[in-house]
Amino acid sequence: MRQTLLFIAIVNGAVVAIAAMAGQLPPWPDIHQPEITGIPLIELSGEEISISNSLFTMWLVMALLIGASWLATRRLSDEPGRLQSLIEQLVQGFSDFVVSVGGQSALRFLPLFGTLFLFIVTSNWLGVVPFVGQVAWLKAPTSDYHVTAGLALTSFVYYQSVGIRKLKLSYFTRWFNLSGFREGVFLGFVMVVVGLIELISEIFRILSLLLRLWGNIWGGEIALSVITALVVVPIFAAPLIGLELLVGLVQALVFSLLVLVYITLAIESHDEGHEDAQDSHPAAHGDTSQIAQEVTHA
Amino acid sequence: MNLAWLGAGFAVGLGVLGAGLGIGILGSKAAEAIGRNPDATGLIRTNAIILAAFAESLGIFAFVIAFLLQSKAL
Repeated sequence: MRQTLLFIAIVNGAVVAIAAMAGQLPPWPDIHQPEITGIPLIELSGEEISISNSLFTMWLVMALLIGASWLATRRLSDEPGRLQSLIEQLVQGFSDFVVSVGGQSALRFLPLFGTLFLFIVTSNWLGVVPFVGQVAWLKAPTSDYHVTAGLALTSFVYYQSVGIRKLKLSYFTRWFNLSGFREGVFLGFVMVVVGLIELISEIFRILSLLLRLWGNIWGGEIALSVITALVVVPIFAAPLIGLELLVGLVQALVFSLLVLVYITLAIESHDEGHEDAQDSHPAAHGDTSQIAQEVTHA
Repeated sequence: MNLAWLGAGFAVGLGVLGAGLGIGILGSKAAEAIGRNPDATGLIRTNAIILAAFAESLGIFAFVIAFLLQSKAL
């Protein structure tokens, strides 16, 4: 490891020294700012509908992940080879994590969680691979906000639909809650306002999921390009590359974890506020039907 | 000299100040909690990561605003 780094440093330094002697060095802060979004490569219908470089790289990531999982599950055996045991450890780790976050019932969402995590972490780590983001066809997918918007919207639609399928109509009582009027006009008014604020915060969930992932990865690319331009010899930016690898891992974890948390929030019924959270679920459902009856009578 | 650049600098500086303070407080409390109750390390770590993500997203908003201002100044 240390020898490899030393070798790269010597090669880097030699290239820079030769360029300096030949007078070919660019003017000093030679900063190439990464693009906000992908650049269209093939235009299908104007600039709006096109195959951009981040979309192309996303297909590469998908092909990589699908190929790896196909290879690992092609010949399943009781005495796993290296690839199979690696994937098994990965899946076991994911499922332990999901159970620790959402309980045994959250295991249903393990495929979604694992896929999101693996896709995002692969895309994030592509951002620090040489040539990705520098040649025309390659750009790290998560440093394009269209990709993160797609991920955030998909997760949003998924957790809402899971909640509606689980709780049916009572799912909407978290936003339009009239049960407070039993205790008085003031409390009822407060609960209605709180429900509306909750409704607006759903939009900010999409926005924050989108911006957090994109801002971190794109900001990391900017930091990398600026530091690399400042130190001239690229290997001196190696600590920052390590930091970017860590950030990519943590952001992938945060994105998939937040989606999982939103799902578990969506499928739990919290009709009577948080004091009743310890109650058993049948009782909560009974309360819901009572409220629904009262609402229909009123 | 365009004032939008000044605004961009202030936006990212002040915005990240708040997020940094928040994450600092959160990290110190999480470390304290792990020290008091090492058995709950996994749970505390998960919660700390989620909450740090919330605090951090505000800093990222400031960062995005700063870049919008900067592109306006060009």
